[in-house]
Amino acid sequence: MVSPILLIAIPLFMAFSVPIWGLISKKLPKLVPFFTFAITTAILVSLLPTLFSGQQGFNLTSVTIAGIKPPYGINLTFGPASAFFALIIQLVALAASLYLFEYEPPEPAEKFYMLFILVVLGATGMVLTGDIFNMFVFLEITSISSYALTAINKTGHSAEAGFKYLLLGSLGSTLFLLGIALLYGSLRTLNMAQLSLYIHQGHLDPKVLMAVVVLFIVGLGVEAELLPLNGWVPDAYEAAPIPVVSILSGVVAKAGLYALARVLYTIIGIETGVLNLLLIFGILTLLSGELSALRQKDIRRLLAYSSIGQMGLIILALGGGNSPMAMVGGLFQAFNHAIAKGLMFLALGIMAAGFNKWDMESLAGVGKAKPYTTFLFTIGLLSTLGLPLFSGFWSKFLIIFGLVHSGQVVYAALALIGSVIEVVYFARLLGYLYGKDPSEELLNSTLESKKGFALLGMTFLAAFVILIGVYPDFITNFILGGTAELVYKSFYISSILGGI
Amino acid sequence: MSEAIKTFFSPSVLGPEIFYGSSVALFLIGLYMVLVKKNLVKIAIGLTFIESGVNLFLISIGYVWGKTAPILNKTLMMGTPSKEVVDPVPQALVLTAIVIGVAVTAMALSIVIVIHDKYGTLNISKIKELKW
Amino acid sequence: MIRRLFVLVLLIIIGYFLGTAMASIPFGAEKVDVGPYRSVGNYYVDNTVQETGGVNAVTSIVVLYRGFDTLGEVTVLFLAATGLAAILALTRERRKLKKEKPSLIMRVGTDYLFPAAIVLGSYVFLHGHLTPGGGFPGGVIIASGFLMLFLAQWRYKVDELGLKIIESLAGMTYVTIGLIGLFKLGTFLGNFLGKGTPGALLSAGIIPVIYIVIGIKVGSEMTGLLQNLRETTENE
Repeated sequence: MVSPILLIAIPLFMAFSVPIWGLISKKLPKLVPFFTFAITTAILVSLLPTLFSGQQGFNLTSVTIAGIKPPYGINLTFGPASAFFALIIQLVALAASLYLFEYEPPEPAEKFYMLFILVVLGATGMVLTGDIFNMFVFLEITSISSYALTAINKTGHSAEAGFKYLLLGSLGSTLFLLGIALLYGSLRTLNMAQLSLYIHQGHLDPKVLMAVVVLFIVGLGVEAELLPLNGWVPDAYEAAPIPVVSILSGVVAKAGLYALARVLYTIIGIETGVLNLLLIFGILTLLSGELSALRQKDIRRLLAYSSIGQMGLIILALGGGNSPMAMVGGLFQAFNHAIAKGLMFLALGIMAAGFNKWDMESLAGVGKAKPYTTFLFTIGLLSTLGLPLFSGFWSKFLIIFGLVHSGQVVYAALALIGSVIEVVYFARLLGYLYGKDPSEELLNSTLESKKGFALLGMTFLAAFVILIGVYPDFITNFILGGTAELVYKSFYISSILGGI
Repeated sequence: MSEAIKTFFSPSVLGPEIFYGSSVALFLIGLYMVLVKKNLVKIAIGLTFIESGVNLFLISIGYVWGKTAPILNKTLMMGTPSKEVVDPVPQALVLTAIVIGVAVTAMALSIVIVIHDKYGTLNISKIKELKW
Repeated sequence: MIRRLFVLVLLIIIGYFLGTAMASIPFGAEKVDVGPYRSVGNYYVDNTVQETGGVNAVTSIVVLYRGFDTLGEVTVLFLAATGLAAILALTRERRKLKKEKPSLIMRVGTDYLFPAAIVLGSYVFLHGHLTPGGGFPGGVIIASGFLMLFLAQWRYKVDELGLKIIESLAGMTYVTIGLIGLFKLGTFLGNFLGKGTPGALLSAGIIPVIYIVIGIKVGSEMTGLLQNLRETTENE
């Protein structure tokens, strides 16, 4: 019986079983993440056809756990928005797990693989769950495994980055829990559909509502890389192993983003004026990220700041939710950002493999030493810039036009300025990668031909970038359905609780 | 004896202020430690203070004056049990929250151990990256 | 100084903000149903005996109504043990401590208390569906027995491979119980065992089974955590 619950149960089983595989052969644990994600991706893809049927053109299934109907039991929701984010997570995880085949993880390797599976599991759970406390539990699974993976290199630098992340992250999730406690105290329920219904009917004291909004934005903003809470991002991206970084930007940040969107749109509801908060947070995050990226020499830090900027753009787009166009662009951008940044980080890992220097000077001319990898990196980069024929074009286009359409012309102009800054530093980066001659050391570093599986995973992601760039209809159904699911509360509520 | 305890915990002697107030106080003390203290271990302790504050709040929203623990016996099962016992849900939630808090504290301390091994100090102003 | 002042002002603002929000939730009031649905707490208390066969409402919630959270919680603890072992592995300098022997009282006391801790821990998790307690406290009591051993005998070490295998098998069993529910009843973690007489040791379906698994898992994980955090006397 295929059920969305398997997307959580199977990785959990596999993560617990890694030491048992390790007993049989030392080489087996390396393969476990890939097989796990291959199975879960297959399950997810086989479930997708069920999404697009019914009257509205899409539907939302609620999966009960322990046979107890919502709102009394925990339920999973499998609708277009959840499925869309789950798909993003699985694609990036699949590519990153292929990268692991030729990657020597920090010792002890078994623990690394377990943590790697668990971080993806936690993110998938956050995206699928229909219960707010359950979302907190999955948020903690995601973030605790990310702390461990950030610090796993065991250098002083990685420990510092890990501590910084842990401090902000655990503060954030405790605030999220406080928000849940306030909601439970007032409304005596934890089911998201029921909370949404009660808030919509005005059972919540406005003072509590305001506190909850602030606590949720601060709590989830750590994972979603919002401005005052993203101090951990550059350090963590610099200190963590490369496959982990691609997971942090492609999986953890997206799960945080989904949680933020779900909580603010579905539970709190956009009529309460949270959108203005999102617009302000979004634009500040966008501009600060892009401006900081200008000064970076280390490519990982540069990409980290660029990632912050992109997350700011997505939050900005979600803030333009009065116009569905901006919202659609935001979800599309979430997909593009996850795929393109995942691709860029993985490619960067190969570019610096056997060499381990990450600044622009040392990697100058890598386009001649490792042409195919650099080519893949460039695809990701151009998509991030939003060039036509790459998938990033459509999403940026939609966001900016959507913002103009909903009357936020100032924000649209600022977002355009952010994109121009992006062009400046990425052009400079490309100049270094292609324009110079490679150093001896770079030429002697590990050949790309030894990284076949990793290149396969990256080619897979790059193919998505191009495919969707040329033929965006491939995922538009998803995005339109996802936007509708997030915005129309009554659809969500009636799908889960039944008609009222 | 039990009468005395009941009077002590009745609303007239200890108002809701004591529970909500102490949870806010714990939260603020913890936040102060996280923001001001220089010692990594003290920061980690501050985090556990914040967690305790939230947990105390979570458990106190489930309380109902004068009601008993949500374990049913024959007498309770005769009537409507929900009128006789406190709300069990926050207790179940707080159990989860405590375990998660322990996990976070364990991770924090293990990272602190690595930092101490590498730098020989716990003072954040002597470690370059941790200043922000 | 200015920084502290700033922090204090910030704290006062946050405190006021939280205080006003909290004050609108009356403390100790009756838990009435807010809207068209029953409040989940009241629903659980009134239906736990019929639906789950367990008399302890908190355990019924922890294991069945919100069993998925508990699976997550077990995962978090597993994560903590795994992450700790991953971060502290190999690199950690094993410093030589002063070789001061544990006192006689500690050593002799442990000889008597260790078995008692194991028995008490097992009792607590076996009776989780009847009395306060359950898998988590039970597991922690067992781990505290090992903590005593660590304190009383400097050289004592638990076999790490064994711990690892117990942890894995217990976790896999938990997920498998959930999956059996999925295949037999069509719902993950479904209660596929009989409910029995409320209040009897063999009752409440899968609750005791899951609590036994949790007890074993928590016990081995906490022991592993303690062992990793302990500083040993010998260089390895």
